[in-house]
Amino acid sequence: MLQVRGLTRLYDQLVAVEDLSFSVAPGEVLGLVGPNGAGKTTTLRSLCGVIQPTRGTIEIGGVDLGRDPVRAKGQIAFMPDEPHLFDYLTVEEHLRFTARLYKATGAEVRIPALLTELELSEKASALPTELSRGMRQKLVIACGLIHDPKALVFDEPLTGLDPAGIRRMKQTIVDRARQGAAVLLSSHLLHLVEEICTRVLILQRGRMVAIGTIPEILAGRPDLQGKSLEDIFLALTGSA
Amino acid sequence: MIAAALYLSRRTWANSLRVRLLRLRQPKYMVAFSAGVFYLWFMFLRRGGPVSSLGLLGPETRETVAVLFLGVILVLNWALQTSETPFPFTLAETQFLFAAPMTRRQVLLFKIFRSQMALVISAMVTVFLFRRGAWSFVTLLHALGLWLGYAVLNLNGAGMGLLRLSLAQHGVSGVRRRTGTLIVFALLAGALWWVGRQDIPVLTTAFTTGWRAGFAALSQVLHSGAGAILSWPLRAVVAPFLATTPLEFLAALPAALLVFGVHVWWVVGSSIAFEEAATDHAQRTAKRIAALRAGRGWTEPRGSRAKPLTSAALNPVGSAAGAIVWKNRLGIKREFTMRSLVLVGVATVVGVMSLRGPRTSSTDLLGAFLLFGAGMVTLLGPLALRFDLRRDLEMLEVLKTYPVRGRTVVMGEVGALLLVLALTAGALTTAAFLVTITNDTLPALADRLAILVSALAGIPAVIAVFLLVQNTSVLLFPAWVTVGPQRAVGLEATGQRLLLTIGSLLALVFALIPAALLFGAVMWLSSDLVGGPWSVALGAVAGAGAVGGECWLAVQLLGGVFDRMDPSSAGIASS
Repeated sequence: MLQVRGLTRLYDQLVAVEDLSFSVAPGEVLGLVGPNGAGKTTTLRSLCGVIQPTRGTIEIGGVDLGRDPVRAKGQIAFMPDEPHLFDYLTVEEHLRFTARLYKATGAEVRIPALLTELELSEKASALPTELSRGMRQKLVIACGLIHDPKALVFDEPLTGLDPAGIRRMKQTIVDRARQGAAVLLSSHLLHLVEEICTRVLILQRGRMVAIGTIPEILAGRPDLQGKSLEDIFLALTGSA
Repeated sequence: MIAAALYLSRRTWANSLRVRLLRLRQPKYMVAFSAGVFYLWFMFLRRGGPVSSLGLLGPETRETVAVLFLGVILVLNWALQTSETPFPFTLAETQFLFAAPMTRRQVLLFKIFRSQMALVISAMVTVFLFRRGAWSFVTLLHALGLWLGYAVLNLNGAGMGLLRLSLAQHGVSGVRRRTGTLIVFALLAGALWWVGRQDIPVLTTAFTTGWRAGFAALSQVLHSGAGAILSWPLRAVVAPFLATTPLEFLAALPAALLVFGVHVWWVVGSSIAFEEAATDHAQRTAKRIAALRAGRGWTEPRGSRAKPLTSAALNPVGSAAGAIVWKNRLGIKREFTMRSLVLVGVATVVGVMSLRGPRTSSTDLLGAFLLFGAGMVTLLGPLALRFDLRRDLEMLEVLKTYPVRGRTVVMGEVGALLLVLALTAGALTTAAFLVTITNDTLPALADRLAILVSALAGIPAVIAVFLLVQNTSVLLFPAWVTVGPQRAVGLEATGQRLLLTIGSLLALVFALIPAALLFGAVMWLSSDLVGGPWSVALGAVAGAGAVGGECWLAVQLLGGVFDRMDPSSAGIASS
């Protein structure tokens, strides 16, 4: 569903991401982890068409993002860590607006359903300035799900959520994967990655240092047998 | 405590100056700073620069004008102030001061003291910019007098803020707590009504004769009877600023200090728990500053407590550009408050009534005002309203994730404002035509109709060019344009705006050349066929068509720029 080949992104002389290749299959949750400045955000932005790669190709649902960005973007949803919303649109208006941009079918039915699912029904007429951070985050998720995307990209999805919200968010991610979506999740919360991701990709200084299930990664490092993802991460990135 | 406030102000000023100086190492800031310095020199410092028009008036008229000015500002502050906090604390101040072992009064005193430093600098700068002749000791006294005026205004606003907060917090018991203040205000209102009832007919007659007679009559009102008592605090505050000798200044100082002292006592004596409101306000301000520093903008949640204005729901099926137009149209609608409309309405009515002469009918004046409004909407609307990429570029990361082409985004962003402004200006122009339809002194009706057609064709074309020039600036030079609803301040920002304005005007002239050529050609060719104003109308329609073609081309080009735009390198990315 998500296919990345040789992704490279330079900022002048700085190499943010170098020759990164990976894929995310339908139903899979791939965890993207790495220390600060490893290139996670650049990777996510490239995947969602926010920035253009210097080299390499990205395919979403078999559509080349560089060649046909409109069709490719129509199949993906990006949930950033910081919820950016239009100050002057209400919750429901955000959903209507997004539905129209994504040409979402059955939006009239999906909007109330999503509002209920994400517990936003009572705030349907509220402006973003009246919402708590958690609710703003939920609204971004609702906007991302309105067109039933085949691929979902989450950047730090648990930021600002309360314990109940965290549980629901984890459930939403797992449910979407079970329904056949390919999910890429970037987070510093390694226990979250360990809990819900089927595979893990570890980035450091723009390069991939490991990818696979935790047992697969451990197979290459017998010295780390029985260790947690946190230990593996620290050992592989040299942060320990 | 005063020492702490002094230390904080001193270090803040020194560090901010250091940061600004270091920033000048970047060429774009250096160029902008140089342009700002040039602007400052050209406007205010070179010989023959503007002089204060107040200084050209006689002493009595000067006092009357100053009192009137101060009074109007005070009334506007009372009537229109919506700030929820008596003093705008910064987030750091709320964190340090509110948690410190200080009484509420000490916190207020600290804040009042700190505010004065900024006011002193503002007063010095104002007097420096608008002084006549060289610096002298009297200039310094003027600055001190102006500072007193600023300080009283500032404290008065704070006192009103506390009063409003008290009423909001305590309801009926708040009214009881503030009985003294409310009685003073009731007495003031009653006295004003009494003075107005007696003197307004006299003043109206005097101003009809001429403005000198009018001001003389107003001065008389301010110095006699109840008017003298009512205006005393205002006269006391402006007197030091208007003093022309050190002796006059010294004589005026005690009364002004008394008014200042009463205000300090009023504000510091308040026991209102303002901390929560101040913290809320500080958090919002901090968000706005953070957004500005990131090159983005932030919207003050206007009327966020009120239910948003409802609007026709967007049909989920349709064009993406239409959705963006709908979104921005909604933003424009929500930005306009009832207060704005009331102010515009009152200003129009007052203007029409005051300019009405013996030979001018109200409908003619109304027509003139409507035409004036149409002109303002056409020429200033595209600059003042920023509901397009100038505002939405802060959402670049979100906009770029949408499955739409850049040209669609640009078309939608520009389209909303074009639609709203063109419809408004067109409606005003048509209304001006209609209200003067029976006027025989104007050109023939058919000719006026032709002029109306020309205007209706030309208005959208001019607005479209203005909007596209503005949006081109933000797309091509995002680091030079303030993105978001707020405007940047400072000498560099002034320089940036100056350079961008010059660039925009050049672009505008360049863009209008083909349209002007076509307009001239069609007008010349059709002049023998239809003649006079109708050939102008045909030319205008043809010119508007040419502008339409240019705009279409510009949207395609700008769409490509948008598609290639990188939030990180544009300085817009949030992280």
